[in-house]
Amino acid sequence: MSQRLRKQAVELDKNFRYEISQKIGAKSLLKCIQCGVCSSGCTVTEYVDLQPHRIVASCLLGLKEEVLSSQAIWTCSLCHRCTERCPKNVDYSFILALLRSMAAQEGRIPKEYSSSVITILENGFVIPYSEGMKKNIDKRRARLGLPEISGPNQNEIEFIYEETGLKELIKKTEVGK
Amino acid sequence: MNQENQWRYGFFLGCVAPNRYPMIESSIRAVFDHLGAELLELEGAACCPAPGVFRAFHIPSWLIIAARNISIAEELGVSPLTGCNGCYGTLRDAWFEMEHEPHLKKMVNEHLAKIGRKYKGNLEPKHVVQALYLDMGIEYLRDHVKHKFKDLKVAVHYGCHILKPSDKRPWDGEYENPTFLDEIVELTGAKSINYQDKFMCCGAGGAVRTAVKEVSADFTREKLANIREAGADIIIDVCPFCHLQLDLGQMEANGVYKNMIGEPFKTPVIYLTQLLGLSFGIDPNKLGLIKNHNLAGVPPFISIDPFMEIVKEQLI
Repeated sequence: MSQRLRKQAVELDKNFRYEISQKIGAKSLLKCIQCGVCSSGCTVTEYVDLQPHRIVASCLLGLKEEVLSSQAIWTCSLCHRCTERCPKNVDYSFILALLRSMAAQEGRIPKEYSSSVITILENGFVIPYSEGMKKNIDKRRARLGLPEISGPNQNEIEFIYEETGLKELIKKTEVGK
Repeated sequence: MNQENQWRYGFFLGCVAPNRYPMIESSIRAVFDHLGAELLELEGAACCPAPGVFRAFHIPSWLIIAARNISIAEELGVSPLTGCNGCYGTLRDAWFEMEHEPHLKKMVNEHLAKIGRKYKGNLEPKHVVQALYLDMGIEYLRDHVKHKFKDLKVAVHYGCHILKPSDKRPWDGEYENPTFLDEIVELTGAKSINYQDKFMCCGAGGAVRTAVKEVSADFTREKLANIREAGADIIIDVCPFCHLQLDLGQMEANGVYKNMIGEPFKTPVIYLTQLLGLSFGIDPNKLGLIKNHNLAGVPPFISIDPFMEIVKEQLI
C-alpha cells in the first residue's frame, strides 16, 4: 500500500482505537510512539502491505476499514519479537490477534482459518487424522508401541462452540464468502 | 518427597506429534521413563487449541478449550506437559492470563461447569525442556549420559513460543540469547554451532504455513540456508510443528526454490529427546530413530540416514 491515502477527518473512525484498547491486554495500544522497532525486527516485514508500526498508527488514526481489510493482519507468524522489543511495552502480537478476531466477527477471515476451526470441531484435532494417513500413522504407532490416539468427547467441544457463539460465527463466515 | 512423586506430569500430546511424528512422542516417553519421571495419559484432551488460527478466530473459545485441557491434568493432580511450542504457547498463555484476570477464570468456569468440568489453575503447564532443565536439572541429566558424540555439529532451533512472550515463560525474561537448550545438547558431546539469525522463527506459526504458504516457505528457506552455511550436520528442535516445517520445508524449498538454493537441502531434523536418548544409551528404535522406510508421503521427509551413520561411527 504505497499510494497515498487521502481521507477527511469525518471519515475516520475515531472510536476504533478505544474499541481495541478497552479489551483486556490491549490498553498498551495507546502508548505507541511510532519508533518502528516492531517493524524492523518483524519476521514477515518484507511480505506485508502494512508493517506493524503502520498498523498501529492506522488503528490510532481510525483507519478501521484499511486495517481490517489489510493482508498484513493475516500474515504474522506470532513470533512475538515486536512485543518483546517494544520500548513502550505495546503488546502488538496480542493486538494483532485481537484485530484478527475483530475481522472474523465481521465474517472477514481467510478460509484456511475457518476450515481449521471446523476441523477441530469435527475431529478434536487441527491436524486431520484420517484415511490413508491414519493407516500409515497407526501402523507406525503400533510399531513404536504407542497407545491408540483417543480424541476428546466431541459433544463437549461442540457444546463449547455453541455456547460461546463460535458456531454461529462460523456460519456467518461461511455465508460471507 | 521422592523423585517418582516429584516428577509426574500429564502428557499433553497435541496434534502434530501423535498424528505426524509419533517418533517424537516415543522419544519423549522413553527419555522421561529413563529419567524416572512418570507421564500420565490425558484422556479426552483436544487440540490445545492452535494459538494462531484459533485465538485469531474467537478468543473466549480459545481460552475455554485450553482451560478444559488443563483441567484434565488437574484432575490427576499434575501439571500438563507438552513437547510442542505451540501447545505450550496456548496452555501457558491461557493459564497465565486466567491467573491475572480473575473474571476470565470465572467466565471460563461458568462454561466448563455445564460440561461437568472445573478449571482451578493451580498447576503450571510445562514444556518438556522446562521439565528437563528446571525440574530435573542439568547435573541430573549429565549423570545419565553414557555415550558422547566425538564430532557432531548441531544447529539448535529453539522456536518462538518456548521463549516468548518472555513474561509468561520461566526463563527469567531471557529471549534474545538463551542457552538452556544448547547446554542440554552439548551434554551429548555434540557442538551447538552458531548460525545467522539463530532465533528466527521456523516459518510455520500464526497459521502462516496454513494460510500464506509462499511467505512461510520463503523464510524457512532463509533459515535453512543459514543452517547449511554454518556447516550443521543436523538440526535439533523442541517443537513438532517447527519439526514439520524444517523437515517438510526442505522438500518444499527444494522444489520451489530449486534455482535459488543450489544443492538441494538434506539436513536431518532430530528432536531433542531423540538425541538425548541416544546419549543415555536408549535403544534407537524406542527413540523412533528407525531406518528410513518406504512409506511415501509420511515423515520424516528428509532422510535421517546420514545422522544414523554418524551415530554408528561415534556412539557404538
